[in-house]
Amino acid sequence: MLKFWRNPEFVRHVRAELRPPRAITVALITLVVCVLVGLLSWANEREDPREFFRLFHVWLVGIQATILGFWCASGCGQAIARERDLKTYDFLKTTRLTAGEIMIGKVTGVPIMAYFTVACSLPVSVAAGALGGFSPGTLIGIYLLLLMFSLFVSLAALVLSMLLEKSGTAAVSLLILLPMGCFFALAESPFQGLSAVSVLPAIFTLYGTDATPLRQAPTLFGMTTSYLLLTPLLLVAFGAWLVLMLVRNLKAEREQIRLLSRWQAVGLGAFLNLLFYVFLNPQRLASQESYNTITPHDAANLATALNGFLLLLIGFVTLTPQEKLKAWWRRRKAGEEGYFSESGLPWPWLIAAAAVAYALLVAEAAGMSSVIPLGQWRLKAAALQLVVLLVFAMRDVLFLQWCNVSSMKRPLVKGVLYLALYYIAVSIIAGVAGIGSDARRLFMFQLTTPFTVFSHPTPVLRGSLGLALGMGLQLAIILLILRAITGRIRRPASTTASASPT
Amino acid sequence: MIRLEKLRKEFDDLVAVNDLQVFIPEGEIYGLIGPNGAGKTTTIRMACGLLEPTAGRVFINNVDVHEKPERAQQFIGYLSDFFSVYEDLKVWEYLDYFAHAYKMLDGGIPARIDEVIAQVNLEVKRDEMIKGLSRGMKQRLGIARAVIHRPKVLLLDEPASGLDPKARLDLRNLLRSLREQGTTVLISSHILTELEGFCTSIGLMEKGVMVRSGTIEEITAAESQHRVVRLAWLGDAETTIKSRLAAQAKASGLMVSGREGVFKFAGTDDELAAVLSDLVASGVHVLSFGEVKQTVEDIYMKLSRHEVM
Repeated sequence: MLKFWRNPEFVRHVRAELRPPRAITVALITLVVCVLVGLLSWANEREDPREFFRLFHVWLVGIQATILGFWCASGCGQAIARERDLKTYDFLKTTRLTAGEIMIGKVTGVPIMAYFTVACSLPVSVAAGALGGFSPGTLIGIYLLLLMFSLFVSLAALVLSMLLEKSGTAAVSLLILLPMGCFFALAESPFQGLSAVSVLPAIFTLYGTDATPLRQAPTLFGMTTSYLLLTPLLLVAFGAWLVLMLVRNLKAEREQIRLLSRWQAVGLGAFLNLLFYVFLNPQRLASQESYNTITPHDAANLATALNGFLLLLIGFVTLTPQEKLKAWWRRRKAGEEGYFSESGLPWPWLIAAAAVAYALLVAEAAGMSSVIPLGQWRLKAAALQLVVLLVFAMRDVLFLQWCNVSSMKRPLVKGVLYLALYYIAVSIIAGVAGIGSDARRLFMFQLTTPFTVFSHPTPVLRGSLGLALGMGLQLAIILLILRAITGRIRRPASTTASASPT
Repeated sequence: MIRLEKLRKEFDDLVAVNDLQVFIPEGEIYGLIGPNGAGKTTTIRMACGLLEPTAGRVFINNVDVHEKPERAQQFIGYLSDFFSVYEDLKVWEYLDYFAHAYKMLDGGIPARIDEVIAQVNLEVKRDEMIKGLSRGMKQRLGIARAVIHRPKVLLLDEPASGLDPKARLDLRNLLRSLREQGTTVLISSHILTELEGFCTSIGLMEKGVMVRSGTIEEITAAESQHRVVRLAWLGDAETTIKSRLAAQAKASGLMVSGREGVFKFAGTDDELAAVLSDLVASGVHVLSFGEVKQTVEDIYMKLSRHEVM
């Protein structure tokens, strides 16, 4: 593996973006901005020099974080798509650089101007921090966190850029930075530790800020821990999944991209389930629900709801291109491959993912049985919920797979829109049909959607005719979709019709 | 040097390349000819590892391109028809970037950059920004990039697009000199004149299938089992010619137009000479008599009318 500063992709960006005239201009502008921020800080805090330097330092760090966040997101968010547009990417792919080396070159090279700007202002912000009384450990910690944040944002943006057909800076920045910010809201939930993804809690901890959501320490496996441990841990863990996706796909044609192999997708599902239980604060679990606690049954409900979403996500990232599905069909007919194949239909893997998810729920309940009786988790109800979600997820994923093998333009976009239209339509129809009769509305919902599994206690769920009929209906639809897919992939391919010579 | 084994590519319901079987020995310049949509670009993209085949394998210098892509790439230089270059770099920086990306040894890179810049006649532009170059110059820079790492195999997809006549001539000369150094070239085009003069072998593609492959002589000979002979005469000799040719077992399909005619002949040169002697002996005043040689272009035109299939 090449050292990053010798990586040709890194060197290219340094050469292109840091030519002396431009670098000098940027450095001068940065210094001017530092002076202006200093003046602004002085205007706000003239009495206490220590407080002035603290304010000056924090504002500079805020500006540096903003520059890094947006530059990394926007730069890396268009790095691949733009090269595809310009038709330069093929030549990069046909060099001896591995996908890993291309990734490192882009992640370190594309936002080079942002790193340079931060480097220019770094002496000022560090000096201000030191004069403000922040310890060297705090200052080093802050910049290490910013570096990790930048690398994580760059990786996430690069994955999006790899998937996008056209480069779109603003959209990519929002798609990455907004969810990261949203994680901060989890600081007051029973999954407080997950808020560490947003980096802010760790920065507040370093500065000793007394922010309300952070008054209680997060837990890991039920033990109290620090955001300073959790943030690097989570960024590295999520970053590793992003690296895996990039290394698998950076050199592939866009149409051939499969973010994860099927085993890896099931593994990602298990990993996210594991995070759910690892960060579930047992102190927030109680047999009676209150303003800051949830019951184990609610936790199980949350876990199954999360898995409903994960099943759809796993199905979506493991959809098979028509070409590979046809080849799989031929090999399966020849007895060379089975249903659990990388190129086959996604449904067997959804069953595997659901089984793993349920096993983890049972393991969590068993692990906490000394604190919370097993019965409070209502594991049988959770199993039934998961089966219902699995059937609906299989139906929807197979529908998307059918769209993918049909001759539609943008099949996945259309498929997702059709599904959204379906759920809106059945919700309206069930709502109208249920005017004056809750039972009729419930029956309609049970027949056509999986949502009712969360809204009713176990006995209704177990003995419901609507649910049983709904399951039967969905299984029949699944069989029909499977037949339609098989019909498509069994068709022999025809030769291209060539045009006349020029 | 280049071996395509049962190479197949399907796009949805279409077979773009259908079980292609090709071997190109070292030092050949192999022209891939076919109408638009014949599968040439798909073949080249699979050969250089950009496109994963549905089935089959590609070997370059005995390395499987899709199993060991990074190893195979050291042997491959690739250039496509329409492409861009990094406009924010200087000419030498662009070549330096690719030299490092091909993991050439640091010590030899500056000299090699100067060498290829001279080969494509861009010496005066060495330190210029690429955005200031003309389209033809950028195409030449692309060629320099493709050969910077001294590849054993060059895969060129319509490389002369956008080049002026002099640059086309330079490209031909460059490819010839590379061939003399042992480089194997696979070059695609639908413009015959680009290839006919300097390719040592050609492959004719149609609808994803290689319908003919071999040296130009082999292909034209294979298509000329029934030679076409054209003759012209003086006076009213049509009846005599018809009766004399009807008596020749290997002559067929006489078509007459005024005092000219063409017929197919399946015999040897000696037998053809005997036919001429017979006509002269029969009193026909033969004005001209000769075989109509089939060119690659004739075969190509047949191909595009689906007559070869």
